[in-house]
Amino acid sequence: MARYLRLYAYFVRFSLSRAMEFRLDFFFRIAMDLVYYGVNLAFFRILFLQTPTLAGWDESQAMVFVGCYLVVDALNMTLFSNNMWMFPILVNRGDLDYYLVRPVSTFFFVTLRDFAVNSFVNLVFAFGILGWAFTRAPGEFSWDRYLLLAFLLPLGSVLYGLVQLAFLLPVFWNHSARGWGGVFWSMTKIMERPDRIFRGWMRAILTTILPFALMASFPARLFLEGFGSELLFHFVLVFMAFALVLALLWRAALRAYSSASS
Amino acid sequence: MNQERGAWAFQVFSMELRKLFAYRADFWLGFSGSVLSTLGISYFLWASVFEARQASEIGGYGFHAMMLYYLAVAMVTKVVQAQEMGLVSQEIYQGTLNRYLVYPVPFFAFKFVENLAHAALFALQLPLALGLFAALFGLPPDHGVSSASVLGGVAAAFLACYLYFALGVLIELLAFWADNVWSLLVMLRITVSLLGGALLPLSVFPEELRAALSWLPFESLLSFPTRALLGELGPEEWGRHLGILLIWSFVTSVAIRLVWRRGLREYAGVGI
Repeated sequence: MARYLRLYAYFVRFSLSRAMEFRLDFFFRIAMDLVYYGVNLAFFRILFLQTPTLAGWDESQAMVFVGCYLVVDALNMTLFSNNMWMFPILVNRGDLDYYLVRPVSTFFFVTLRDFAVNSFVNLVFAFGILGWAFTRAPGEFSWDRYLLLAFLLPLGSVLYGLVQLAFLLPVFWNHSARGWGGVFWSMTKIMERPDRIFRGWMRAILTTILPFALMASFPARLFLEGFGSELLFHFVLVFMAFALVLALLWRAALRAYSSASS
Repeated sequence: MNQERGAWAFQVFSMELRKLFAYRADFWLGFSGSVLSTLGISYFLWASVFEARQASEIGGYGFHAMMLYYLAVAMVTKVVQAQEMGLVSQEIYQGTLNRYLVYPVPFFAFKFVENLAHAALFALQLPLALGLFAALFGLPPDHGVSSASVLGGVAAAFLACYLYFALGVLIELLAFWADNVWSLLVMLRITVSLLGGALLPLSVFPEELRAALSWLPFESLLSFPTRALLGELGPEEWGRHLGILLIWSFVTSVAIRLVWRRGLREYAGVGI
């Protein structure tokens, strides 16, 4: 464990020096995320001009949800996003070989090697938006709700990363991740909508097999509406099941890997 | 000479189509995933809004018409944005711009024809998607969709495609000076999706914001072709949007010319 932490500290250090080599790009990326945050806030602001409530939330409560998914997104961008971007390229070019022969977990190396420093800066802005939303939301929130949220949002972000990886794994078999990768990006919008707008079988799918509606909505609901063991149990269960399925898929994918011809 | 010009354009166009068909599964998966998820999310979002508001119409659209709008705007967005981003800047970063400089064809025309192949393929799917929607769910009452409106909408989408391409190229040319311009292109895409009417119809925007946006290119990029397709525009609005598209296309093309000349002076031809 200590070895992995030390290794991760090196990853962060190398990523920082790499980011500082391309300074203009570093600032462009910060600006890009700020535009993304602005567009998301504007979207809900305009939507709430048309309706008093959305999925049972008024505008100030919905803004807490927006803050939650911006934090989930910023965490994912910081920790996983660049690595996921590179992952299909590593497989196609056969560069995964170099990761397979190293005396550390390939999964750890491939998914966490690049730490996005610019997104780490944006994480501050995302937390700022969430903090601002807390001050506007009606009611008092006890410290245990903040603690629960602090536990669930990183979990939501890891789940986001796992789902993204699941969409990229077909690259081992069909040699291209563009199709499924495109489907994943289209589906990320689901995370940006409250889970309760989805009904029937679609809701069942989006909170279990494709758990996009879980990642930020459930933490926001547990924070805004108080502790619900059923909701928390559902969240943790789906997370664990997804992690297990992904571990099996990962093993199968590595077995199918045939270096540069992948 | 003119025949030769047409010949290279046709070759580039058909070559790009062949490339697209080489990855058929990816193409169809990406395309259907994007359109279906946009439509699905909009369906549940607006069903929730209509229910909460207890309204039969929002921003001039009933629920059925709102779904048709989202289908049309998703398809139009595909036509307008066409090819993926970064294809000009990558040539600069990798130093592969060199070969275009010695080709006997203009670089931007070459790139635009490539882009057009993607747009054309999406445009072909547009009437099919509308037909499928009409067959499955019917068209909303008082709709203005006709074969003329679809043709007009597709033509407007191609004009908007040029402007979007030109805006993208203008940003990509910054690659002569900047390390990476990908994030600027994402900014353009995100901004256009909100201010162009892809995330929400512009008719639900506050009046002051709409007035402020009226002379900017965003509305003409997505909302104009979409509403033209749905037969919602009178001749006056058609004229105004065409004017905006042409003026912005002209201004952007002139800016590209200026930046290109200055950029070439900086270009070392070895990539980074």
